[in-house]
Order: sequence, then structure tokens, then C-alpha cells
Amino acid sequence: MTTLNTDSYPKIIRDFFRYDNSVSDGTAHRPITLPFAYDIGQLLAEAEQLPYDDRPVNRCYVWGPEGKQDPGCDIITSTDKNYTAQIDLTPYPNIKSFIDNANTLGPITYLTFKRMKPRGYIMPHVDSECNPYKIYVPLSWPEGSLFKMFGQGNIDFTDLKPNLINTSDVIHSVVNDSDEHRIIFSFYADWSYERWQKVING
Amino acid sequence: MSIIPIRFTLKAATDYAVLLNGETIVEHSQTTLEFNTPILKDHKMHTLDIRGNVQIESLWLDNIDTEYYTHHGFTSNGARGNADSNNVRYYFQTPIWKWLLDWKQHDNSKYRLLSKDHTGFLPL
Repeated sequence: MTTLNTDSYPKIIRDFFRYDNSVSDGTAHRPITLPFAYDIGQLLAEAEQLPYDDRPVNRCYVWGPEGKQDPGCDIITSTDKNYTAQIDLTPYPNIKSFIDNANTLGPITYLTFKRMKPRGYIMPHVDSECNPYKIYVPLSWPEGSLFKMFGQGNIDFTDLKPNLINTSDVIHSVVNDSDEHRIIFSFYADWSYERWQKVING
Repeated sequence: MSIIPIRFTLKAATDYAVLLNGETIVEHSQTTLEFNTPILKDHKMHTLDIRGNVQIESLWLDNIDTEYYTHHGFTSNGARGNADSNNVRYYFQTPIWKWLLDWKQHDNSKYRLLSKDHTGFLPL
């Protein structure tokens, strides 16, 4: 049971976090290990400087299909084949290096950074029009940050470990029940590539 | 077992009656109504009928906004919607949070969305 600190969260969120005491069976999310080195501290320092938009959860669209407006995710009906940086990555060498390394496993199809305000939240939802799987990489995870999946427990972001998450089939909700903002980035890739298969299948 | 508050807002061209599991709760004409249910068995299907010439605009169950579920009522001719000249019926289960998340998850599945795109509204 998780009782959120404030009644300002909608009741559907408070009830979901309080009463869904499910545990993961590994089908909706699991920790993964990326086969290249990266420095969380350096990534966070650069992520703090990114040009975020002003949505309730601030976003910065960094990588995606060439020559298109932000599709919002790796759309499941996408036929794009070429992907490129959506901002100038020169001031962000660690972010660029991460993307370059990830692209050696198979093409990254979409990557965004997200910054959630203190006491922020995302209502329970399903990303039904998106590639079913994405990798979340938390760069900060203040105590009180929770990512909960319906019937599948909370995602373990202990030690800022990345997780593969099925966000298109399982309803999920995120809260930052703390006094600090929280930054993550998430990305989709062409998971059919053999090197990605090895990563996501352990 | 649960006792939950139910609140809805509506446009009504006539007086209307509210029935829960077939039992009349109240007859009224105002555009917002709230009441507490009798004891409801959890994980059983319950029905809420608003009987009259009505258009339901919002539906809060256990203080939870059911959002677009409002448009998934059953009308007197068996179609889906939130407006009818005779009766709009909603089905739900308690606990509301669990039932609603389960409903939303299925309503947003890829196959459900494809069905909506290609053949219109399919009853769940």
C-alpha cells in the first residue's frame, strides 16, 4: 500500500496507489542492462540544461524521424526509416554519446527527456498508438517518485537502473510525490535487431 | 462490500428517476444529483438507470470522474451513448478504481481502437 502525501492527487490515482498491491510477473516491466557505459551524473547535468516545453510534464524531444513534426512517440504505424537529432546536440556531448552508442545496437526511433514538477502526476493511461516497449532511464528519482502499472506493481528504479516497460498494453500512472523535480529520458528502438534482442531478453 | 457516493450532471427535458440495481433511489428534475448507494457487493455487476428524456454530461462514481465512460451508457434501443428519450443505463463494479482502470485498459487496447476506427462502436 502506498498512501500519497497529499489529497491534491485525483482520487483515481490515490486509490490506484493505495489499493493495487500487485507485484510484477516480469511481463510488463523489467530491469535491463545497457551494454555500454554512460555517466548518470553527466547526463543529468546536461538534461537540466535542455530546452523543455511548458506542458504539465515538461518534455524535450531529442531524437526521432527525419523531416517530421514530433509524433509524440514511436507511432506503431510509422514507416519511417531515417532518424535524426531534433535539437543541436553539440552542447550535450554525453547525451549525444549515449544516442550514438545505443544506435550501434539498432536504430533509435524516438527519444525524449521528461521533467516532472514536485507533486506532479500523470493520470492512468495506455500509450496504445505507440511501439509497445520503451526503455526508461531515470536520471533522478526523488523519494516519493513512483511509476505504477495496473496489476503489475511498481517499477523498480532503485539505483537509477533502466527498465524495459510495456506502456501500450498496461495502464500506468506516475507521481512525483516529493519536493524536487524529477528527470528521466525514454526511448524506443527497432527491437528486432539482434543486439537489442540480447539486451531486452537478458 | 462498498457504499459509494454517485454524482452525475445532466440535461433533462422531463423529470427523471434514478434506479440502482432496479430499485428507485429518487425522482427528480435538477441538473446535478448526488446520493450514497446502499451496500453494494464488490466485484458484482451493478446497474445505474437514469429514466427520462436525459443527456448525462458527467458521472462520478466513488468521487472518481469516469471521464469518457459517460458516453458508454446503454440507451433504450440497445445503442451506446449518454442520451436517450427514455433511459440511459450504466454498468459498473466496485471497487470503482479497479473496475474503471480495467475498463479503460481494455477500451484503449490496439484491437479495440482498430475496431473503433473501422467499424464504429463495438460493445464490450
